[in-house]
Amino acid sequence: MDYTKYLIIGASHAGLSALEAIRAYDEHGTTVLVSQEDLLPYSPTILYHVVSGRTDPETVFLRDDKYFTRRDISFLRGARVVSVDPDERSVSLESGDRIQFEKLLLATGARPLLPRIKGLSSVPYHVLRTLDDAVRIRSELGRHKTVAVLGGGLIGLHCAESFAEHGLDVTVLEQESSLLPGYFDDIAARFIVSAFREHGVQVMTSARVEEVVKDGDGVALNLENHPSVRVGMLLVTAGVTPRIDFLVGSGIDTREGVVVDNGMKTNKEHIWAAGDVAEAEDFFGASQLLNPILPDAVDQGRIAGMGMADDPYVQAYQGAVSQNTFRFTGHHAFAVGKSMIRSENGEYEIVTHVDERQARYWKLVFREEVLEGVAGINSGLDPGIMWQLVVRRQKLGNLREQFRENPAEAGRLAMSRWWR
Amino acid sequence: MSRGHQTIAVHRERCDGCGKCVEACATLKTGSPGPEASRIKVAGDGKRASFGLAVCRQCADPRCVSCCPSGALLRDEEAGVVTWSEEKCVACGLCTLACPYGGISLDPVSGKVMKCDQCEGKPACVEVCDRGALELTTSSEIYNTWGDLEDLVVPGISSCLGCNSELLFRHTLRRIGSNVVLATPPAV
Repeated sequence: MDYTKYLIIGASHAGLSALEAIRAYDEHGTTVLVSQEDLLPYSPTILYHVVSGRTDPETVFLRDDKYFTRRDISFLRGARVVSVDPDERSVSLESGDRIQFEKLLLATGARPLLPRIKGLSSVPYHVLRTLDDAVRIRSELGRHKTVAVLGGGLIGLHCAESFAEHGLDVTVLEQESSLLPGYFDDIAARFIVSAFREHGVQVMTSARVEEVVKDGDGVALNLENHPSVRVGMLLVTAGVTPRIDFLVGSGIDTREGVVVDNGMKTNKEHIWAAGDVAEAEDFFGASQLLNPILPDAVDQGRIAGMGMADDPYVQAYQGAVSQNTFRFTGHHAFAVGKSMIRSENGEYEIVTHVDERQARYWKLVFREEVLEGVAGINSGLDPGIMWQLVVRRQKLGNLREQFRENPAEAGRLAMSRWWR
Repeated sequence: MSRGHQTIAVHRERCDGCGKCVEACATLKTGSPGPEASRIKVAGDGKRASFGLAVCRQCADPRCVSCCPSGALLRDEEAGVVTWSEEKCVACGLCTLACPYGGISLDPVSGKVMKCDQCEGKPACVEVCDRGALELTTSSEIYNTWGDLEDLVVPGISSCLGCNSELLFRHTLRRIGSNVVLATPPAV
């Protein structure tokens, strides 16, 4: 059985970030990175650009082979981990091989969440999580005239935009009453919907699919309260769920994801988890939550890697804060923290700026003297500064008034003043 | 070979908000002085009492690079500059969320990512600043050797603008262990 000091399962942002942190403190400790795909590391976030044709699938990789050889890291590609034995400190691979480890990081990410819809398993459909998925969707685009996107989240909307640009008739079906409900309030969501409609995408909200059935070469979606939709191609983008099936019976504490403390440690000594697979502390509350977002994977991976290497400089995870950026049909949007809070209830003060002519929108959510949520569309705000204000729980003091009038300048001034 | 990197030092207290740096940057990069396309941004408090400056710090340990899903952002270890590839960039904007300093943003006209590239060693903003608020300084080799490993002070600032002690003390203490107290920390 092979032995390694550090074993990392999963080669995307969390795993790569952990590797960097380990090598910053421990130059020579034996390190093995395992990836289930036989590919160099890449980000799932790039995939819709492969679908659109913007990005060549050959150029998506974030590291080359030299990177690993130079750092003395063994990169095991195309190897699927099927089980973990925390007591023996070993993992088993599908090939039958086993690897013994001193410290283990679970950074296996997430897989597409499939909604429970009658008939889904008996019709052809696509998901988008791997490079293979993206290449397959891309190669099929020319064969279809119509496509339905099930789920109006970030991935679904990105794909819908590309499909429309390829001349397909696109219908987005979202079961909630507005698009991107985790990030944007009704004003922003209305703007996003109209931008997509102008782009030639049909958007149906509060659309519940009762059943899907085969319809010739395509698929028919039967909806509650709407006429059915018949399409050539179906893409399911209903969110993601942590990839934890291989942990069954391991004794590692899982709920929706792998439960970790604020050092990214699991309940088992010597085992950490980070990224989309981890269920970590919520920044705003005591509960645990999944936060499958790229920057969070980077931060969690770094904390885990530092912990694994016994780096005394490791700092505790500050808690998951919802945050993302969204580029659509020529517009740029972002959201941080409690951006979706819709109305004032005494606890929060909400300042909103809407400029329809310039397609400009921003919204700030204050609680007492602190900013707890920000959203913007073509806002000119610096999202990273806004994120820092939220996570630092920065009291705005006499800048508070300026934040209402000109939050972009106020943010830069705050940055210069408080964290340079 | 020397590994001293050039870095733009900001002396905020000397800035009077004249905005020449913004104009010079935008003009050089886009041909028009409109402040929206400037890579350096000046923010005032409305009373002209204090100003903030946002510009890329060319961090040694850049979060924008870690958060880039397309490999468009890289740190050029030789030049000490964070580079951006237009060809690879998909304009997702995650870098603008990753940067705590407002050092990378989106050009509202072109929709493209924009950041300071230090004008190949001759930053237009520094050349035009006659208030002494912007200065091109060189960080030293020993700083870079340790800073490359991990910048434990403020990413991108050449450690107290020239003093290496703090960074070296931090790295040393980190190796010795957390039960050691440094009796004479470097002054700020």
